[in-house]
Amino acid sequence: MKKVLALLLAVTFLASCAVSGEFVIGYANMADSDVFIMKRMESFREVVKKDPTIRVIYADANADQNRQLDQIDNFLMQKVDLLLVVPVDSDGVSGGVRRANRAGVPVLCLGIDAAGGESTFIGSPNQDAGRQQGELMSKLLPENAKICYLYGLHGNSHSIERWESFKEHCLDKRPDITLLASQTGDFERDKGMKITEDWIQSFPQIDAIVSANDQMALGAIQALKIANRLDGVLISGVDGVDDAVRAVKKGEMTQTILQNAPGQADAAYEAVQMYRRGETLPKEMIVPFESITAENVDQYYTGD
Amino acid sequence: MHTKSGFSFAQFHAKYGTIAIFAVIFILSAVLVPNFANPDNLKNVLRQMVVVTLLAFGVTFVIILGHIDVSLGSVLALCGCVAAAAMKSTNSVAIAVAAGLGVGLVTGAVNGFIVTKFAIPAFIMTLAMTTVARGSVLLFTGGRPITNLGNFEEIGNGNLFGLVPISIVILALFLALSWLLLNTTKYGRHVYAVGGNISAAIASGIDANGVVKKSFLYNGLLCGLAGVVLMSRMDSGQPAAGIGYEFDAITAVVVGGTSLAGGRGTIIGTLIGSAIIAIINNDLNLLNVHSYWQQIAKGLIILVAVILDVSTRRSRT
Repeated sequence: MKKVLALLLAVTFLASCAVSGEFVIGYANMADSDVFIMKRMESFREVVKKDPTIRVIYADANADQNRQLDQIDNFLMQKVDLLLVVPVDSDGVSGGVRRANRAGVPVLCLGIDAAGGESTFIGSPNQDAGRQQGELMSKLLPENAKICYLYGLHGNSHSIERWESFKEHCLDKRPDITLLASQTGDFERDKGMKITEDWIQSFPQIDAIVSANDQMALGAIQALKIANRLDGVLISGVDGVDDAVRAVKKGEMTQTILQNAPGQADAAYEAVQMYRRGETLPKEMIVPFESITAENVDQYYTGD
Repeated sequence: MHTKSGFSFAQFHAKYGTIAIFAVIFILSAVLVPNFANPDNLKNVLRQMVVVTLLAFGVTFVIILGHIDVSLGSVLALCGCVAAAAMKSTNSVAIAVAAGLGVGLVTGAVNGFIVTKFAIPAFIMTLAMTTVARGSVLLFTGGRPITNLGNFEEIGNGNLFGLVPISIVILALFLALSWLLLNTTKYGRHVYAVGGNISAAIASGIDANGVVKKSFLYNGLLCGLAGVVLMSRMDSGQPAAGIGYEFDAITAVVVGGTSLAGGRGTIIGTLIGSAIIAIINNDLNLLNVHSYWQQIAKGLIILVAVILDVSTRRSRT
């Protein structure tokens, strides 16, 4: 028994030592339970396979900023060569970024920018998602339309930025549109569905439901379908997850804003290679959001 | 209870308990909240309360025994996603339901076995189960929802004879079954006996561990069923669903008059407790109360309901 243990320990120790020439990346993910965030991580896992000299260690913060800071510290202790972070919170992650800066480890922030320290932001600015939702809705909605809005998680910068730029590009420009109600569905499908069921009871007319992500928008569609009220209601979400693209294809959903997971993963890989070639990393690498509607859905729909 | 002359609120409440609180909240809602009393909305509230109420029925047994289960939400996600995956690969609703219930039974058996065998607090055991179940469901689905499930959504969204939602029928059936189990069987009497005074129960020859195991098993079964209904409602297997549902269920049980100390509680009380919470949630949404305030309001209303209940109970004894 003791021998086996000793052997096991030796093997783990050897495995954790960097083989010379190996480039180690610490990937501090925000939450493995989120569909989009997971898709981006899987895409990165795929793209990084191209380079056998790269080894990636993953950690999941489960949407807890404090846990993420610990994980960043662990990565720094393990002397990773580069840190890839999907911050739980823009401000909250700053301390970890500064510690990495002091340790001389470069930091790439995926999806959400860090407010403090030096890092390279790779992602799609949330304001653009809200703007594209706002622009399409203000174009399509009839005079005196009545709409509802589903916020994401409270206190989350995605949620606030998407809402504020939607408001700016739709509600502020079209004062005739009434915002009947707005509630938070915590980015989750079941909550988006429940809230919509209640709205259906309150409001005889809803012309659009705009949501801070696809999951809640899909919940809203489900609720409207059951009540036979989906017809004529515009639905807009963000992320471009497979279900949402399918819903756009089926004509149940008006718009989803694709946050390009493979595109962001490619950009992150590109940044890693730039750093290894000794090039200076830029302040940001923007992967634009893409609005998917009935007009262009065929470019994105991959079938079932 | 001794007869006293004149009306006393304490006496009234002691006699009618949570039903009185329910009636007050229902009437206030009907009068003050637009669209609340609309039959469509009442059906809506019933449909919305199915999942949490099923969880609450199961955990009522566990709580009467003086135990607790904090793993309901993640076990529900695991069961529901296994059911969704079974649906996807076999296209049979029966197999999907069986798979979901089966996983629920297994987790219930594990909880019950470890709690009794090693005499560890159920809180710790089910806390461990929470992360194990959530980890398993994420591992098994790869964090992605399972979609395209054929007629799986019939369970959660379909209607029997085109009239009564199937999910409400399921709720009614398990209301009856839970009530019968707790009120008419020897097992039910043993649940109260063990929860009230375990030493006395054992002294009188009751197999206390057996009762605890059976209760966790039934709790697991209902958890599986709730998972199937929830995923079916969303027409997809959602690995991240159900977060925090255990607190909604336990709150419903406590508001319904079941004592967290064990020994006391009823299925009807749990049903009413769950209805009270569902109505409050519905009210707050119909009134479009800002969600920051919703959280505060919900907490306060629950607190007041429980304080009322506890204080009048004390005046009874």
